[in-house]
Amino acid sequence: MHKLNYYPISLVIISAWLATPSLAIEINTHGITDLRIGIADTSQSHLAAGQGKFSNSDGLSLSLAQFGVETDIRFDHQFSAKIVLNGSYLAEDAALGITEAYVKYKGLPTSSGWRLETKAGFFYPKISLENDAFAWSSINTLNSSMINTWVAEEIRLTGAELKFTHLGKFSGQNYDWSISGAAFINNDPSSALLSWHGWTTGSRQTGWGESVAFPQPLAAQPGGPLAEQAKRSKPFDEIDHRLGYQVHWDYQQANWGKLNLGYYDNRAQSFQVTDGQYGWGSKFVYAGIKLKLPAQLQLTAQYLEGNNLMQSPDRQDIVKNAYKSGFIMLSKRRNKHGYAMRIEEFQVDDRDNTAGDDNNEYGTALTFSYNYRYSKPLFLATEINIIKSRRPARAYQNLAIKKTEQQLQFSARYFF
Amino acid sequence: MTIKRCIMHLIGFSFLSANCYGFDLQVKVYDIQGNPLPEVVVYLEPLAGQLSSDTKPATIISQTEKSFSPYIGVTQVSTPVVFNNRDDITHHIYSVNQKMPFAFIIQPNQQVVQTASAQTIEIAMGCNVHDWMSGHLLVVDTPYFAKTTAQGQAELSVEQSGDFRLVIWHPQLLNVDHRQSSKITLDTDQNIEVHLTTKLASIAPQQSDDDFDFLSEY
Repeated sequence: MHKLNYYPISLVIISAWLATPSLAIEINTHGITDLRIGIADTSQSHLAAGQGKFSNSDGLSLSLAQFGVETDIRFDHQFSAKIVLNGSYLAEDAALGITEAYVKYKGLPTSSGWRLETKAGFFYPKISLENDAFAWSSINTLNSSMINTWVAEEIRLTGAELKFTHLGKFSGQNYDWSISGAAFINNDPSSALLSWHGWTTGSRQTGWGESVAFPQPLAAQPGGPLAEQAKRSKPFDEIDHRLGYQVHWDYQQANWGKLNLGYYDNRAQSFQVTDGQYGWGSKFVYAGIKLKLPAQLQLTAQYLEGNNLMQSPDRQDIVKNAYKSGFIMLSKRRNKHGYAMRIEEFQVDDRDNTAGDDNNEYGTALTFSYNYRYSKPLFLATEINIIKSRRPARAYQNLAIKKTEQQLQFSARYFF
Repeated sequence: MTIKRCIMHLIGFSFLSANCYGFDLQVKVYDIQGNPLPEVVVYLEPLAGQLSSDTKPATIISQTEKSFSPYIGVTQVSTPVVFNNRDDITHHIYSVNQKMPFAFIIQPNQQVVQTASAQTIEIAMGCNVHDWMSGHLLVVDTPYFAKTTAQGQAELSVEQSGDFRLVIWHPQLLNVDHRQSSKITLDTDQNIEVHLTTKLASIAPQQSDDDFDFLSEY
């Protein structure tokens, strides 16, 4: 276990105690259980150190894709805390961990509509436009897009965020906007997994302190330039004791939709290494839009583009990549039926000269999803994922470089 | 109309204190396009200190399907305002008017009672959990107020004759203080038509764009 494993929980509990000398505490718990049967034409899953882009390997699988519980603790009308626990039990991977834990202050708007919010702890940056349901689950599809699957796997802020919102309704405007900034520690190895397994799709979320497997490049063999890298990456480790930051802007207009735009930089020193975990200087911009269209259609699109750098202790570039991904999704919910179709494109451009560590990748993906609301909390869903990609690193596992992976899933998702 | 009012007092066994010789004012409000305008507040301010024995009952503002119901409320100064959460979720209701500030958490099926301010003010309300929720409450220092029906019609019963200011109020009325007023003299039953001379801004839809029952607040 990492030495700071209990830091977020302690922070929440101590802050809760300090904030509540004599208040009635209100606790609400919600969650989701997602049971799936799937059949996939792929290779060994990236979660089992393979090159497969799904959470399960080739063949038939029965899995608990998500068991998520979020507990909101409200101390008064402005102070609250949230702890989110997520787990999954797959054929070759089991996980259970805290995926968010923070305390939050949400002030009241002024008469001109300005509101201050701040939170501190371990939390997601607000990037995803898909994962707004309980415990960060996706609303319209079973598998999140590649962007948000990556956010769930490797991006989390351990720090504090300050947010200013302007609510237009108090000054005759029909739109709201907000701007926020966060400073964070940890998250120094972010984008290591992206580099070594490429873009993937699923619903798994990495918990605090957790380590995740990845396909080993040839350069990781003894004597190779990546020989000192641990066999599992720990995305939320602190390596260089430097602060990273994230800034975010969003805009929302009633009956139209929402926009967001932001920038993340973990400011990791790329030549630092602790217990086999390197600092990966990782930075990216992101943008998203969600629009209401006629006929109850909704369009959701996101784009993310960035780069990273990981160096040896003598500051030689070992891994240097540029990465980008984007998707467009059309979705519709009507009565008991929900439909979604998503098109994605993704790329990793390897810009270093390290032999035995080719991180290049290019591909496209297609998702068709349908869900039927059997009862208020229970959704029965089926989904097809097709990913076509070219990835030279597959050759390290004696696989064809080009591959089309396909998956059919049936799910019962129960919200509580 | 006066006879009807007397009968209603008699049915209510309040005839001993009732003044059966008042006046009824029928007001019909039209928007700038000439269409009858529902859900606007009409009230009378006595200009010669005409006193009234009437005190209006409590005003109820419900939270229903994540919206304020009614969207516009009107109440007399210093009377109770009852908030009634009919949703199965918690709301966090607040006012941004510093002359009547309030903020409270209201649980499902819970009632919270506030007392209206002692002066005429308009209060914009919201829910700090659900930002799309908007509500407006007008506090008036007169018992003579009503909201227009779907046909744009409001009926006011006044006990004493004299001069009054007839005020039309709507939070989206693009006029000074969201009001349009005129002076009238009441000494008999009257029907008055009021044509607004300014537009009303559109009301934002009182529902979330994300129509899903299991949203987390991120």
